[in-house]
Amino acid sequence: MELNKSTRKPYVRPVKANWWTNKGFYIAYMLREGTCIPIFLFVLELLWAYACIACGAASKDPMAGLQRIMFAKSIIQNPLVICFNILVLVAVVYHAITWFNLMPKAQRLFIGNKLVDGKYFVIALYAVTILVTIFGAICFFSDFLWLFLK
Amino acid sequence: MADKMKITVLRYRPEQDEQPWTQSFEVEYTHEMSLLEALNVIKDTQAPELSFRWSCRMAICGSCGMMVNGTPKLACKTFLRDYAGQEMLIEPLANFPIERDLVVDLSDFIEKLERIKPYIIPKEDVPYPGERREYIQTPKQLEKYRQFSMCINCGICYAACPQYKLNKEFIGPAALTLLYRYNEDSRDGGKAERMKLVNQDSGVWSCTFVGYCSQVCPKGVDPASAIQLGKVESAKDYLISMFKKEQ
Repeated sequence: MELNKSTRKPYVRPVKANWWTNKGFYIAYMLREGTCIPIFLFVLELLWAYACIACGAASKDPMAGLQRIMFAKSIIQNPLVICFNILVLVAVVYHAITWFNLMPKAQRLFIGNKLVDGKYFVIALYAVTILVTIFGAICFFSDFLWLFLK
Repeated sequence: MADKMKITVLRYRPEQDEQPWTQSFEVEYTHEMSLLEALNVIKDTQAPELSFRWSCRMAICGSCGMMVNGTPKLACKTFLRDYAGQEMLIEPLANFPIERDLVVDLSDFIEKLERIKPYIIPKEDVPYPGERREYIQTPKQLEKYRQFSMCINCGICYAACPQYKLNKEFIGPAALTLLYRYNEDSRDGGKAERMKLVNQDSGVWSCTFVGYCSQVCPKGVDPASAIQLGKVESAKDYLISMFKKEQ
């Protein structure tokens, strides 16, 4: 064998499509990114329902319009659709939690010479979420309240 | 009484093998034995031709990065006691071509490291400050980049990065972290030059924020954070360039 001859032959390992399935961290990441699919479908559902109600309300034939609205209502009240909506809620909450936890990496704040601990950003995000949810709930239930008063 | 550990190593000898294969060894170990020591025992007593890189034995040089049961780790900072009752599968660092046994070709990473100019480029308009011949830095200015300067260039974050796995153009975690480290240094004047690399497709925007790089870093550096902060800088840079006349 020639001693001065190079036998270099770097081996490149192939990338398999299931590279992410053998590690919990990658699975959690793929789930986080995957939440966009149910959310996208939910947005389509919402747009379709709005379109049905708007077209129904604007229809010249009141009976046909009402039928259209009732059809949209029956689809939205279908148990399968309600189950899907619950799944979407779970996906949104999961996505929000994962992003809240990552938030301190994308933001740095100095007070004096000291770097502020990232956990305060996360606490602030949860506080804002809770406040907005309470505000939304008040708006939602005050509508009901108004109906009762009337 | 020493316990025994079964260590399976991915072997590859370019002059003989078409593809890597596994070989198992059994090693007696004590409480303080690191994986690097175990590999040296294997080399001394069972497989003298086994190749792997190492130097300092104390997580400073960044030479002994390898995959331990699928997780990238420094062999010198991995202890057999933590795997008691299990087996260990040792593979070369993922996402890099295998040169021989546990030795990988890191030249792509080194090229990217060079590309980002990992050194202080003096500001042109600021001459050396008087007689002291040194730049003064406040604790806050130091704190801005300190943790990102702890990188030892071991390449472990590249082995953890799915984006680098799928797209070898991506500049990658460690290089982008060091880029951010020098951009944030108050003594540095090379930011405009480096921002061109940050803004490219292969720059920060190729990162999808998996975050595993920060999880595996043996020096506690947070590359995912440096890249997200780089995205903020890149967005600012883009916004400013919209209102700035072309030079």
